[in-house]
Amino acid sequence: MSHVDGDTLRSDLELDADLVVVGSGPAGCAVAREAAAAGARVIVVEEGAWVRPAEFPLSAFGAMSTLYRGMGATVVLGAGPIPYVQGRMVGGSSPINGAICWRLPRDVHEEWCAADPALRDALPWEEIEAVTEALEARLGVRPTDPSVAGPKNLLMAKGADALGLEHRPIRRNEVGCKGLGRCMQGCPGGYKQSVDATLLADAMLGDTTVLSRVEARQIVRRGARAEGVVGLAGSGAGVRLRARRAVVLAASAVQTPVLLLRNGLRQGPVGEHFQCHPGVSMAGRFRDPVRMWEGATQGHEVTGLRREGLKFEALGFDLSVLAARLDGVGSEFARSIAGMAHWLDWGAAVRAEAHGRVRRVLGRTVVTYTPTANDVARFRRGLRVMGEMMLAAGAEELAPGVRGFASRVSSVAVLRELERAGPASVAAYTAAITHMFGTCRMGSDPAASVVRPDFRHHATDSLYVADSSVFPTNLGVNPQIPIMAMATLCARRILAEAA
Amino acid sequence: MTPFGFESRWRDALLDAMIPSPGNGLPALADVDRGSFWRRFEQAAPWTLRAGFRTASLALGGLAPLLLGYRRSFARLDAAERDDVLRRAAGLPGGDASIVLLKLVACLAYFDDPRVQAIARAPERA
Repeated sequence: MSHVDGDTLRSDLELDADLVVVGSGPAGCAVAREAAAAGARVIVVEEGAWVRPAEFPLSAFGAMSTLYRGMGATVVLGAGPIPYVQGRMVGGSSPINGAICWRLPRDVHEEWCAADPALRDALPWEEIEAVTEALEARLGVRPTDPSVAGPKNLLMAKGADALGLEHRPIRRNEVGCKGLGRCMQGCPGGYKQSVDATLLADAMLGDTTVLSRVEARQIVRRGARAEGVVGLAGSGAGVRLRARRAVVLAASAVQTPVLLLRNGLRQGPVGEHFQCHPGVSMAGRFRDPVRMWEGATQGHEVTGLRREGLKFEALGFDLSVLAARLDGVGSEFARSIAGMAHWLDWGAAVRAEAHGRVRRVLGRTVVTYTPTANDVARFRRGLRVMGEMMLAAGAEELAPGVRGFASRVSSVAVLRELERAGPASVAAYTAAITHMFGTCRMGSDPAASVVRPDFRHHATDSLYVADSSVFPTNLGVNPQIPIMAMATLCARRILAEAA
Repeated sequence: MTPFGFESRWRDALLDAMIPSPGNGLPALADVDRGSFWRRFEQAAPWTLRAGFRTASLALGGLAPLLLGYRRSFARLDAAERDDVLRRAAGLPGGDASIVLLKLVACLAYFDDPRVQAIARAPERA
């Protein structure tokens, strides 16, 4: 086991391994763990730094400027620029996500298999379930303990009960959570069982080397076979990695297609079919303080509308992100900040039907994406239902965050008007994107997919894609566990092929 | 590209005006040292955010006061006039998006200060 920090490399580095894995998020760590357990020598290349829990900052800006890609302010371009959020560190987004764990929904798996029957044999449901159970056990996945939930989560349960909606404590990967409310800045106590602390640690018990602060730039090929990766360390030193068995791309649904395009690997619809879960949020002011920044960051969810493509989650931000969501400017805004302890925010994640595209333009990554009219209608419906839940839970007023609509709302009738006749333009909504999929989709038809059902690139041998870019569609639920499960299957297929 | 001197003055004046003293023990944003914040912002922010914020600062700091009947830049207005410009700027073309961006950057700068964090998080404020 070893770790090399690319910022400290004084001279060029050359290494050999069975597998070279690009990216250390849930997919990359799952591949490394499975391969290392089978005795393979693995190198994991990560562009970001390895940041330990004791170094996680308190403020949102501190976290965004050191742990997030593009300060968390990278945006998709389209009818309205919408931020998409990704981690850029060892562990990928896992150390800075809300620790929400869902299994791959059976109905989504069925959709995939119905669209491409070859996937039924390639991705057997029983194998996915078995892998998922083992991952959940390793990651300590459990429902949020009510003793650390805090008001924001408990009020969501109250509001959902009032409307008769199915809800539950969120299942999270944590051990000993103290409800510090700092998941998004990285858990300073190390209670979150992020993949750097679990799957990668397991992989490093075997023959695994982690290269942090090394950017993978070139996929080395001989004919139609991938043989390695060339990268650039933070120090400026060159890094040349030879892969005896496979190069595995696990850099996310944005970075993986960009790396393929950068290397002229234009097989199939690479970069196309970008899908995601755009979300909107409803803020509410309660008479008693709710101190949204305390308690489990995201500890409760409403699942009753999942089949409609809507899932609600209690949100937990640092003070700055909550404050930016409050109403007013200048002196009025300052008064809102003084009363911030009374405000909380819940989010609606939408299983959007829109497709976008990831490209490289003049050396920059450009994501274009515009939610459809149906998606925006789901925004409105989500805001209406969350607003009714908040009022039922005791909120005195609401801030829907919709430009061109009432900034403060306190009646169900106005919420229903928002759902019925609210703005049609996505630009009117305070939205954000998490969970990205589909840009190197898996399938049996080389014209309609980038990788085969065994995760192997259609046109290049020994090149595999293991991250959520292979998912044929979005999921409608938080994807970190399905990503790890699918990546574990990817590693198994590589090992089987090599055998 | 490093902002010109007048741009730095305008953006600081805009941030100061966005969060005057909230009371409740919290300081005004003008009383928070932002040197470290701006250095890290220039290093970490993607080009889209830097360009957007720069455009918003120029629009709100230079153009908005003129369009709203003032004959001076934002940095030369008094506190009441600044408050008035921020309130009415949202009604100008593109003003709403500029205000949203300015507010976000102001909040990031404000709560990056450990003293503000400590006061805001203190249990007695509940």
